[in-house]
Amino acid sequence: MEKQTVIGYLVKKNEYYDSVFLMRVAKNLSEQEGILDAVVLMGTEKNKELLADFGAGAEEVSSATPNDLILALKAESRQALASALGDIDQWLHPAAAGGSTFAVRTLDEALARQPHSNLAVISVPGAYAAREAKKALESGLNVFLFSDNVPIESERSLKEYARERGLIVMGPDCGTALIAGIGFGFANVVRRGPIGVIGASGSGIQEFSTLVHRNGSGISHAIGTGSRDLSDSVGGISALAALDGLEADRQTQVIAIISKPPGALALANLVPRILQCPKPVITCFLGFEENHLPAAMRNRTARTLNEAAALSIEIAIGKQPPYFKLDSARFQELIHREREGMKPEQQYIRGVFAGGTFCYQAQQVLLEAGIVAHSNAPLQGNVKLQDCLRSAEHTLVDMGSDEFTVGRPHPMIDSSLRRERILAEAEDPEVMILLLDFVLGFNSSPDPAGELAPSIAAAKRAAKKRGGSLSVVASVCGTEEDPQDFQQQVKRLEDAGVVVFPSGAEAAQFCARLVAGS
Amino acid sequence: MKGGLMPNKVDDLLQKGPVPINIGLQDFAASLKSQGVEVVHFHWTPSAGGDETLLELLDKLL
Repeated sequence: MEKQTVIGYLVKKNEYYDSVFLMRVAKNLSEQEGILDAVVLMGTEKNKELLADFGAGAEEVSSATPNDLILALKAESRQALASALGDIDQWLHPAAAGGSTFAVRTLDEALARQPHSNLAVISVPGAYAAREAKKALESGLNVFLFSDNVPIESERSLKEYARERGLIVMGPDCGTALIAGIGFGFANVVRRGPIGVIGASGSGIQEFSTLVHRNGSGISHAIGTGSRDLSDSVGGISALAALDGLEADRQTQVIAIISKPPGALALANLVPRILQCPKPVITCFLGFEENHLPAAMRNRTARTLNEAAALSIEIAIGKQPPYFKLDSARFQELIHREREGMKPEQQYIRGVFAGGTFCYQAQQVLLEAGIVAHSNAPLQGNVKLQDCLRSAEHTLVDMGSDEFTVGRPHPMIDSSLRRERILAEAEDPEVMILLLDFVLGFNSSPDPAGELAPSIAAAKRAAKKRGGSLSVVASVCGTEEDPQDFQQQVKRLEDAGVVVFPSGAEAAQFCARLVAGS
Repeated sequence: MKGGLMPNKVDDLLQKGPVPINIGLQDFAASLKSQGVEVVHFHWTPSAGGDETLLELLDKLL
């Protein structure tokens, strides 16, 4: 008898849950026996459009509000559907042990419970984020604003408001901060030390801080500014506030600033402030021409996050740690090994990144080696990808950018889109190298290497079946203290045949050499 | 570069360490707790049922 698919819905009125929690509920449901697919969303207009693709058109679904939970399931049988929906409360309301005993329903209540609070950590959907940030600032709180999709006008006005009150807004779209050793958002477990960092991107801060840690030094504070802070529309308001803070901080001896190229006006605000700072300031503006900086700053300018970490440690401790020296012999041996079995038509690099800075830095490294690439977030000199879902020639995709993340968790949390993309790239016979990043730390996937290893193996098998060989190159950003276990993650990838480098810059440099053949 | 009459609350944050209120993802509160940080979790839900027009109107009234 032919199997029939049964579709069922459940709408729970006035039950709001966050997107990461709902992703886990959907994953648990889809693993139940007889369940083919599970979608669990709040009833926003966008989400209801997504459900239309699922085949959901029930009246109660279309009338759901952003405060109502919608569950939509595809099952093999009515029994499987009924069983999964009957068990739903065990996923939505897990045993009280994991529940927060300090949960409150308003900011005023939170402040009454903890009157000495000094920071609001905000990760609500973008459409509501500026409103919550303003309320927090009005209550005298600094703000870590993880939410993205906040209009730039709102960002500027929030930051101006904060500046007038001696506060800072880290964000919006602030992935990471480390304040006095405490990690916010996607942060790694790194020791405290003399190096302070100001970063426009979360993954940039993560790579820099883990490289500093793995080379024996430490971080005083890592202050995220959000990706647009050094644009001319915002003018670097948060970067300047962070510089003030790190200059005054007694533990900080060296300050590093990591960003995409600043706007001309923002740079005009920043440069005199850097030159006036009594502490050494290292700048790493990825994709930026150094000769646009005054001569006095050039000896403290780094091209990559590796260089920035090495230079910061060198200034802090007086010598460069040996780790940062590239092992040329190892590169040569690996190039020889990886090129074995490749067909002549295999010539392109496909980078599928979770961290925006890894994508950006790889583009810079490749451009410097004469390799022009397509990207959904192209560096100057590269080509904008016409359709972000389809690669062309050399392509480096930032899977964490807005076009991939609206309505779903970031690829550092949810690997499913990267998994699909890896398999899609593997179908192209012209692909030579898959370049990947794996980012560990708080709030990232508990096993990023394990989640992608089966797709990597499938990609390699597909190339082999065509008579070729696919090279998979990766970097792992993390420390041995991270919840995921750094060494275990590296081993998992190496067991899957991946060439693993300790930093994104080295992984990209290797790809350039592999394409060149020497 | 510092000026003005307002006390600088960024220095306070860096020197005393963070005392956070978490608004949104409950995992963020859990990761702070796992680091030994006292955190109050504000279980946020969209006000006005998520109705943007109504929210803008409320903002003007308040």
